[in-house]
Amino acid sequence: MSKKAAAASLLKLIVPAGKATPSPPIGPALGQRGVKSMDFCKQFNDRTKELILETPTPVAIAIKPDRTFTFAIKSPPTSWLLKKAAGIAKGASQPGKQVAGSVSLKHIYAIAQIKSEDPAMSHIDMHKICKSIISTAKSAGIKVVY
Amino acid sequence: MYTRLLFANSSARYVRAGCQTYKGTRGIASSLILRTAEKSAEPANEAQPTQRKYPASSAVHGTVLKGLNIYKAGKDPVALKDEEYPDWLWTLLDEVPVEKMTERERQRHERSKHIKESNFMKSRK
Repeated sequence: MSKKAAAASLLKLIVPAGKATPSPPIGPALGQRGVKSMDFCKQFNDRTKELILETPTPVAIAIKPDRTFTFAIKSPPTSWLLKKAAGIAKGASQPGKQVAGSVSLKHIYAIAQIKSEDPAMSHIDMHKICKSIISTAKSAGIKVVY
Repeated sequence: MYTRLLFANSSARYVRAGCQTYKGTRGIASSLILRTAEKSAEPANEAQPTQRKYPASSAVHGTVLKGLNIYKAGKDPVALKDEEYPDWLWTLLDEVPVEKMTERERQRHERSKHIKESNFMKSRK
C-alpha cells in the first residue's frame, strides 16, 4: 500500500483564509508529520491575502519525508458559495423534502466562474461545472430557479 | 387576459413577452416575474423573440449577486442582461422526458431508479 521513502504524504484541510493559526486543527495535523505549523501558517496567510478574511479555503499539503512541504490552494467549497448566494447559514436538514433557500441560474453562473479558476476545474466546460453546482445545490436543499 | 393584451400591442418587446407567457407552464409566477422584468428590461435588447423559450430570469439585469465575491479588492458580481448569458445556461433546468432520452441516458435513469428502490427496501427493516 504505502510506497517507499520518496513518497510524500498528502494532507487535505479547509482553512479560513488569512487566519491560519498553529492551534487545532492545523497544529496537530502538521505537527504529527513533523512540519512546523508556524511556517505553513505564514506562507498560507501570505498566499491568501487577496481573499476576504475567513473564507474557507481547501488546501492540499504535500509533505515530503525530509519535512519540507508544498501546498496548493483551491477555490472555496461549492456548498459554502451556494449558501452565501442564497443568504442562508445552513443547508436544509432534509434536502429534497425541505427547501432552505433559492438561487437563480445567474448565481450559478457566477459561482461557476469562481470555480473555473480552480486548477482542478480549469479544463472542464463551464456547462458541466454549472451542472455539478446545481447538483450540489440539490443536496443542500437549495432550489435553483430561472 | 394579460396574454391578449400583450399580443394586441405589436412592438417587439411585447411579442417576446407574449411568447413567454404563452409557453409559460409555470403560470402566475412566471407572468409576475415577467411584469417586473419588463419594467426594468431595456426595449433595445428584445431582438430575438424566437430564441427564448424560457422565463425571464428572476435575477433581473442589474441585481447585485450578493455574497459571491471572495476577493478583498473585488465587488459582488452584477447580473447581466439575460441575453448576455450563454444559451446553454437556460437549458440547465430542463428535465428530459423518458421517451426522449438517448439509450445511454435511459439506462442510467433505469439503473439509478433501481438502486434507489433497493436502498429503500433495505432501509425498511
